Amino acid sequence: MTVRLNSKLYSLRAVRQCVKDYAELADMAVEKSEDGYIRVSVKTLKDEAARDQLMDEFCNYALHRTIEEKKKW
Amino acid sequence: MENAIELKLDKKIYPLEVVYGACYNFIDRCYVFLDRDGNDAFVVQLKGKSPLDKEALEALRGEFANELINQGLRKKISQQNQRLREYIVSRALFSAETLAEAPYEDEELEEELELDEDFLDDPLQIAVPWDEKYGKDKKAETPGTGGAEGGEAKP
Repeated sequence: MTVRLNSKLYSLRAVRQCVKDYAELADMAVEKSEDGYIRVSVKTLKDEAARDQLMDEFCNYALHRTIEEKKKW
Repeated sequence: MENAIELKLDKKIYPLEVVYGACYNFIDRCYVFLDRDGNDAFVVQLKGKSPLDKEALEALRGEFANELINQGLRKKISQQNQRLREYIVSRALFSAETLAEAPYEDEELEEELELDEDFLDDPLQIAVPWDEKYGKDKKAETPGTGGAEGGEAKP
């Protein structure tokens, strides 16, 4: 399973940090593709039944970290 | 996408900072996915954390749109007040610096202190020590102390 995050909206550093934080739950790989997206692919997962929920939560977390990194307010 | 709604936002009306602000406030309520549509628009997908019916999804859309306007207004006010905020902070820092360096000067307070120096007068000589006032050899003459010493007392 692969998730695509727009690299102009999501920070690569934040996404990498999220992958580290999720290391106990899943083994993920991050790469920046030429089409301007950050691709996060899940290799192995601890709980296969929660795959969709885990990826949704991961995307939320990545967005949260990105905003925290960029926010000025 | 199931259990989700999608909003397309014009970049000129809703800048990225505003979209980020609204997304940030909705992260705890639903799953938020952000993407771009060309160079002029953002696409926001909101997906329910639990199954939501059509009405609930539409309500979510409306609340998100309201939050976008809220964040936009907040940004505008922040920009308008920026110079004023900077001025207030710089004045506060400047005042703190000069107070720390300069000696304290308050003419009114000094005048008041000069007027109150009457308390130094001592017409009843209350502040004069006993020995200085009566002397050691004058002890016998002082009223109420004559017979108390016992030396001159007769049986």
